[in-house]
Amino acid sequence: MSIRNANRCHCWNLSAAAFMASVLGTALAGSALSGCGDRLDVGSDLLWTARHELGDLSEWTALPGGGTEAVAPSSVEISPTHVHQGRFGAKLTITAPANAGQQGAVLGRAGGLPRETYYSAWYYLPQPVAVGDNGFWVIMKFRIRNVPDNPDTARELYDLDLWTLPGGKMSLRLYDHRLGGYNVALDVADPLVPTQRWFQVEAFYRNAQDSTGRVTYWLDGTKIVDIEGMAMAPNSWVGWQAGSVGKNLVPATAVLYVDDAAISRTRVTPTGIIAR
Amino acid sequence: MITLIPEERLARRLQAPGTTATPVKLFDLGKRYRVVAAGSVREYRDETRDCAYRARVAAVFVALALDSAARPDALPVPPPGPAVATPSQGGRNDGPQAAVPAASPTLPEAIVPSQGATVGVPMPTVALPLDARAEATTAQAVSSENPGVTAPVSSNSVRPSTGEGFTIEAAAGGAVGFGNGDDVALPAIVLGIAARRGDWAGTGGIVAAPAFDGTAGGLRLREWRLPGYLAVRHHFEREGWAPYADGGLCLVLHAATGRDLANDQTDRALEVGIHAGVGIRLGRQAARFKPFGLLVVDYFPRPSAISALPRGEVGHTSSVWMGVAFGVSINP
Repeated sequence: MSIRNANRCHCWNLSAAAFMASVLGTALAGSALSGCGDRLDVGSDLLWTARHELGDLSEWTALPGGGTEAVAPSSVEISPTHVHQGRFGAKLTITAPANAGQQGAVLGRAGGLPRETYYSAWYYLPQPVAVGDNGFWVIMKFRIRNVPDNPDTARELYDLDLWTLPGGKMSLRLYDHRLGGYNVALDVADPLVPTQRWFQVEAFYRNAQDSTGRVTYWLDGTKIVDIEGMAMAPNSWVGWQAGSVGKNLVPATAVLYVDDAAISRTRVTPTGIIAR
Repeated sequence: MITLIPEERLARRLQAPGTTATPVKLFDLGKRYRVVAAGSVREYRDETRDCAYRARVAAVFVALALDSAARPDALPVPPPGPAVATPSQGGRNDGPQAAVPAASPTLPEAIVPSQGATVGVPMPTVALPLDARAEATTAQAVSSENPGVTAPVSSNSVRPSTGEGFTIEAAAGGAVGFGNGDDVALPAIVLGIAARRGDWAGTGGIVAAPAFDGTAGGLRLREWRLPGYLAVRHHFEREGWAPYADGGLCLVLHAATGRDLANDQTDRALEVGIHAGVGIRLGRQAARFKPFGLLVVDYFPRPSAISALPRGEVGHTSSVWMGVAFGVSINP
């Protein structure tokens, strides 16, 4: 026997169950909505980038030691024609026929760079270009100075060249200007460079004056050469260029696009992000 | 009822000559209720309208009334008091109205209607079947305490404390976060409040913990969390101890700073997860301070991503946090 106010007792239990269900439902809904896009941006290892989204080349030129270099008819300009990301890229045009000497259009950073760091840039070849005998086409450079503060003492160290394989496809080779100059044997024989598609070149450069020096290159994330255990520059000065320096090219006028260049403490890699 | 009066005696009482066809009647008068049994009437006040409590009280009164009807000399002589009239029982109470026996010192104070008071709306009367048995809890409460006498004690209070009201909880313990590849353990202090009604309570609180060193994808971090929770709690009251279970929502403000990057940055995110816990609270229900131990698990289906340029997303925060805490709850 019991006195039971059925409505009151029953409703309290239903209310509690409904409340718990609503709390759990809110939790699930809330968890579905939040956290999916929630991201904690905890910092960056990027030291410098050139994305060209300002519509000019100031990312290269505004910094001490940075700049562009092109002698007419060669040119360096901003272009919306071929862009890796965003709205603009840099268009480098050189005209380097046979027997005409070296021509160049470069974007560079000189001095003030860390002793060791990563360098990267994205390139676009609208069409294959044949590199003739005794010719060359440099797309990435490391430079040194005998006297750090004297630009007149600047010399070349490593050139990463495009060259033409038998059959017309393009590949990369590394030229060491020391010891009279020679092509360094790559760890990956004849890596293929695509045309009409963006490809990324990365380099790690440790400028040591002893046997701890090191330089490493990647093409689209694949390591193609790793040189270590040898001294690099005579002093701490580092110069780096992403550009187009050629001689004896067919066709003589060669266009190369460069975009999303970066200098960072960690590798960018093809999937890296250089801007939010 | 069977616990209070042996079954065979109960049957005889209910079927005794002179008893009405409906020997026991119950009336719900809102905050009051009236019990009629064996010619005796008693009203009680219960503002909380607790059905189970009313049933226990009524059962005791009925038992006493039935028992005293068989043995009138068994009842203690009530102290002299104002004579009050019992309401008409359909013709039974002829002549001078007998004073209602004073309330047993172990029953709540009865409210005896004055002569002419309204009876109130009678509930459908309930005939006590021969095989009727009190609820197990009621029977146990009666038999374990004082056979024949039920619990309500104080002549001043309507009912004993059952943990209703607000409770402040303070505890200390530790928590472990895992699920992102790098586990982390840290101490914590929990401060909470619970609003209880019966066996249910709504609870909420925050957890304070120190900043800690974490990693995500090999990236070193300095992290800090401020969790808060909202939950529904169910108590399973026992004599001297009470296990309970929590279920609800967990909200965490999570801050993280990269370490050893070229440019460190602090960012914050709000994470939402599911909160569940089990605990045990010791002490009598009416005790003001009660120690407790608690085990909780917070699960975050979508933990925040940790990102650092140029790598991008390198990992995420822990998706599961498990904690243990020991503390004391205080009834202010």
